Amino acid sequence: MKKGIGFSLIGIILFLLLFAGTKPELFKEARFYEVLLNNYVKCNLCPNYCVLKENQLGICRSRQNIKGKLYSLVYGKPVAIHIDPIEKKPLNHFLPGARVFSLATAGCNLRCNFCQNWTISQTDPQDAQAYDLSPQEIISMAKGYGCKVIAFTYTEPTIFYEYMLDIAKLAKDNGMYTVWVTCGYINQEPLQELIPYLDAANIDLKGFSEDFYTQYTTGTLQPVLNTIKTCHELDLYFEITNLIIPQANDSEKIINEMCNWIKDNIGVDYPLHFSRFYPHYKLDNRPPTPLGILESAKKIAERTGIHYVYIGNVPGLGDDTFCPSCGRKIIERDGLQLINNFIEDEKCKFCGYKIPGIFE
Amino acid sequence: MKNASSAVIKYPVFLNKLTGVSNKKTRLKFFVLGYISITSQTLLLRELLIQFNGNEIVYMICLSLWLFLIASGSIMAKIILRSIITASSVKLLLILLPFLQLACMAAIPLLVGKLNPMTGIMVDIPLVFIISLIVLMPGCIILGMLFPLICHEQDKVRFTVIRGYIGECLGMVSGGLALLLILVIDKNFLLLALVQFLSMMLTVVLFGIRKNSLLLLLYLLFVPIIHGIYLRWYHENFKPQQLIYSQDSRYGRLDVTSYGEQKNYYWDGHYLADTYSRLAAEQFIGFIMLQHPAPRDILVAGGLLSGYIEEIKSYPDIGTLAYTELDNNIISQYQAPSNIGFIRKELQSYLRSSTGKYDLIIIDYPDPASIFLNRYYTREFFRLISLRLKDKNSLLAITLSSGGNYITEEYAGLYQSVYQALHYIFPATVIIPAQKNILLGSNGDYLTQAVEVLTKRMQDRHIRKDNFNAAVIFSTCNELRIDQIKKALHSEQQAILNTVKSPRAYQYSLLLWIQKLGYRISNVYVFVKKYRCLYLASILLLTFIITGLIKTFTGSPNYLAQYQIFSISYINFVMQLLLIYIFQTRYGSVYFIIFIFTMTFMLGATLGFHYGMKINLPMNFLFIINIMMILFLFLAHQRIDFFLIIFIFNFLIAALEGVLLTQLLHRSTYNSASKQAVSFYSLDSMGAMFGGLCFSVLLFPLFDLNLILIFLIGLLLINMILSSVDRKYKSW
Repeated sequence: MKKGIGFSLIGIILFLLLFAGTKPELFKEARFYEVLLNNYVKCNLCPNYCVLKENQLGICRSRQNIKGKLYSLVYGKPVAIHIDPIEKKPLNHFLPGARVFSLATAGCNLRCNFCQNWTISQTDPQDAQAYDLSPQEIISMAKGYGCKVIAFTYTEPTIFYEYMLDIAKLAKDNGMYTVWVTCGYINQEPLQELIPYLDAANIDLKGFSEDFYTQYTTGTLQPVLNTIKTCHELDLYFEITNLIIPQANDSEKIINEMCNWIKDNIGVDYPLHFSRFYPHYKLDNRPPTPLGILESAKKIAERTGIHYVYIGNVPGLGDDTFCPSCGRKIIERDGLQLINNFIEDEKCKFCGYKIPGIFE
Repeated sequence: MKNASSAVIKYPVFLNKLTGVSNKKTRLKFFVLGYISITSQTLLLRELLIQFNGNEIVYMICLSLWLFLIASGSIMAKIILRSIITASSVKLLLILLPFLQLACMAAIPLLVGKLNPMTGIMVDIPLVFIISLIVLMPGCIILGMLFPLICHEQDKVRFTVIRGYIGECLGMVSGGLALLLILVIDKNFLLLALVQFLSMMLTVVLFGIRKNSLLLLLYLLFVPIIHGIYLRWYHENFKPQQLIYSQDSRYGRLDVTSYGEQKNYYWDGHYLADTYSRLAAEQFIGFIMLQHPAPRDILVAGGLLSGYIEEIKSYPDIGTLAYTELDNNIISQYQAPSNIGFIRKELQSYLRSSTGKYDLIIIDYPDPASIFLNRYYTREFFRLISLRLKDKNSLLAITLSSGGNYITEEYAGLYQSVYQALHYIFPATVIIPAQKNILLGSNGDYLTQAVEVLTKRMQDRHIRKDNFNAAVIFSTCNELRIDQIKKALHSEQQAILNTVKSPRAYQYSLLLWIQKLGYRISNVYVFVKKYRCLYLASILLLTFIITGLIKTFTGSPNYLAQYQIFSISYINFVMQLLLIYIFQTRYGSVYFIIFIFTMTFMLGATLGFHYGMKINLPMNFLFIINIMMILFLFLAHQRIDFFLIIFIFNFLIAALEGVLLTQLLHRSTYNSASKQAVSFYSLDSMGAMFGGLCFSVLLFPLFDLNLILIFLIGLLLINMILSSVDRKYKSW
C-alpha cells in the first residue's frame, strides 16, 4: 500500500516536471517589456505592442509570458542556417561577391500572405526543428564555412532580437560583419541599441500605403518609415527593397510617392531594389510581376533622382551598377554572380566618384 | 446506391417496364429528377472546384454538402407533405430547377469575388463551405424534396421507392449520355444551359406542351441574361488582369490573362506559367542537362508553357525531343515554332505502349496533391520509366515544390516518400534543392550534387545563362543546403515509400495544403496513426450516431434496417471511390471515360433494384457476397490490368447494392410511400455523404488501401451480427 503511494507520488512529480508548463530556465528573458497588473506583460519590442497574459505567446509566436516575465523562446535556436551570395539578400553595395552565413529562427511579427519563408515565419517555434547554437557557436560555424559576413534574415530578425544582438556584438569582437535583413517593424529604442552593432541592412519597404500593409501584412507602414529614417540618421548603411506585387502595390502613383518620400527623407544615395514577385504561400495564384512594370518602376525611381536602382529576382535584368557621375558600368553581375568590379577605395575607378556602400 | 448524388458515378437510359411504376407521368418525373441531378451535380461541382482552385478534399466537401442537402431536402419534404398540394408543387419545382441551377452557377464567381478577401489567394476551408452551401442549397433542397413528393403521388407503398429509384437511375444514365454527347461544348456554363434545356423540354412534355411551351421561350431568354452575369463576374475576378482566353476541355479549364505585356496561364484556377517562365526554365533545365554526359533523346511531360522546350533546344546536339500532352487547349497556346513531336497521349499509357528509349525523361507536374497526380510519383510509375531509359547514364527528373530555407515535417514526409520510391528503382538518386526540388534517378554514377563538379561540367560545356551560372550552382547546392535535404530525408518520421497502394506522397501533400491554410494537423496525423483502432472505432460509432439522428428526424420505425441502409450506402460508396482510384492509377484521368463508369454503375443498380423486388435472399448471404467482393478487391487490386474488369466489378457492386437495399426496404414497415421515401432517400444520401467524407478526409489521407478494405469488411461483419441478433430477438 505504502509502496503504491510512493510510486504514485514519484509518478506525479515526474509528470509535473515533464509537463507542468513551460520551463522558464530553458529560455532567455526578453528585453523591452513592462510588467502590468495580474502578471500581464506588455512587449515593447515592435509596434504590435502585444499585451500578454500568463503563458500567452506574442503575435510573433517567439516571445511568451511565463509567470509574469517575458521570455524569448528562440534564443540560441535557429531553424534555418545557410550560405548565400550577398546579392541574394539583396545587397549590391556591400562586399560584392561575398558569401554570407545566414540564419533565422521560427516566427515573425508580420503575417504577409505572400511570404516566401512561410514554413518558418508562420510556425510556432515548438513545431519547428531547431539547432541548439550559442552566439559563440554561430561565430565559429560562420568562420568554419569561410564566411566573414553573418546575415540575420529569412524571417524577421527583430523577433530574435536578444540572440541577434549577442551574435552581432561577438561578430564585432571577431572582426566580422553583420547584416540585418528586415521588414523594419521594430520600435525605436531597441533599434537604436542594435544599430551600432550592425554593418548593413536591407529594409523591406513592402508597399507605400497603410491599406497595403493592413491587407497584405497585418502591419502598418509608419513604423517602417521611422526605421528607415532612424537608420539614416544613425549612419547605418542600408539598401531598400520593394517587392512589387501585381494588383497590390504596383501602381505608378504609389511607386512615385514612395520614391519622392525616399528622396525627401533620406536622399538619393541609398540603393533601391524593385523585386519581382513570385506566387508563394497563400497568394499562390497571383501571377508574377510583369517585367514591364518593374522597368517602369525603375524609370520612375531614376526620374525622381535616385542614383542606384535595381531590378531584383530577374536574372540578367537591371542588376549591374552604374556610376551616377560618368555613367560607366562599375559593377557587372550575371544573375547572382559578380563578373567585374570597378570600384576602388569606394570610388568609381573611371571618374573617382564616391560610391556609397562598403567595398573591400 | 445513393440517390441523385453519389454521383461521381451515376448516369443514364431506357425506361419503362424496368421501373414498374404504374403511372407513366410519375415514371417520367423520376426520370427527369435523375437527369437534372446528375447533370447539374457534375457541372456545378466542377465549377466550384475550378473557382476554389480546389483539390480532392475540396471536391469531397462540396460533394458531401450536396448529399447532405439532398438528405435535408427529403426530410423537409415530410413537412411540406402535410401542407402543400403535391401535384402542383412537383410541377413547380421541376420547372424551377433548370432556372435555379443556372442562377446558382452564375452566383459562384460572384460569391467568390465578394467573399474571398483578394484575387489569387487560397480559398480557405470555411469559405469553401459557405460558398458551396449558398450555391448548392436551393437546387439540392428541391432535388431532395422531389423524390418523396413524387413517391407521394403513388398510392401503393410496396416497392414504390425502389421503382422511383430505378426511374431516377435511368434518368441519370441518360443525363450522363447527354453530357457525353454534347461535351464538345467547351464552356461549362453553356453546357449546363444546354443539358438543362433538355430537361425543360422533358418537363414541358410531361406537363403538356400547349400549356407550357412558353416556359421554353422564357428559359431561352433567361440563358443569355444569366450567362452575361456569370461572365461579368468571372472576368471581374481576374481584374485588373484581362481575361483573353477561357476554354474547358475534358481535362480541365485553361484561362489566359494579360497583364501589361505579360500573359499568365491558369489551369483549373491554378497559376501555371507566364510569358517569362523561361527565366526559371534556364535553371531547371540547366541542372538536369548537367546530370547526363551527352543528352540527346529527351521526353518531356509538363512545362510546355513554361519554356522548357525552347530551353532544351538551346543546348547542342539534341536529337529526338518529344512532349506528351493530352489537352489541345494547352498545345494551342504554345506558339513558339518548334519541330518537337507532340504525343497526344497520357504519359503513363504512352510509356506502356511505346518502345522509344530516352536519355532524359523530364516530368514537371504539380505536387501529388490529388490521387490522379500521385500516380506519377509512385514506385510502380518509376519502374515503368526505368524501362524507357536508354542506358545506365540515362535519367529521370521529376519535381517537387521547395520547402525553401526550412523543411517542415510535412515537406520532409513528402520528400521521403517520393525519394524512397525513386531510390527503390534507381540505385543512384539525388535531390537538387533548386527553386523547385529536382529529384533525379539513374542506374549509372554520373549524378551529382557537388558544386565543383557541376561548375566544371558547366564550364566544360560552355553553358552561359543569366539564371544558371556558378553562383546559382553554389547558392543551390552548397554544403548547408544539401545537408538540409539530407536531414529531411533521414529525419525520424521515416515515411513509407509512395506506392499505388499506399499513396503517402498524396497524404503529405494534403497535410501541406492544410498547413498552408493555417491549420497544423500533423500532430493529429501522428496520433491517429498511432491509435488507428481507436480512430476506426470512433468512425464506426459515428455511423450508429448518425443513423440514430436520422431516425429521430424521419420518424422511421426500424433502427436496424435504418442502420443497415446507411452503412450499405456508406460501404458501397467507398467501394466506388476505391474503384475510381484504382482506375485512375492505371489509366489516368477518370474524366476521360467517367461516363462508362457511371453508366455501368447505374445500370447495375437498376438491375439490382429490379431483381431485388423479385427475389428474397437471406441478408447474411448478401453480406457474405459483399465481403467476398471486397476480398477480391483486396487480393486483386494490384493485378487488375484490364479496365473491363473494373467496369464489370463496378456493375456488380451496384447490382448487389441494389438487391441489398431493396431487401432492407422490404423489411422496413411503413404506412406510406412518401414516409418510406423520406427515410430511405435521406439515409441513402447521408450514408454516401459520410462514406465520401470518411474516404477522402478521414481514411484515405491516413491509411493504405488494404486497411480501408479491412475496415469495410469489419462494417459488413457488424451488419451480419446485427442481422443475426435481430432474427433472435426481434426487438429493434
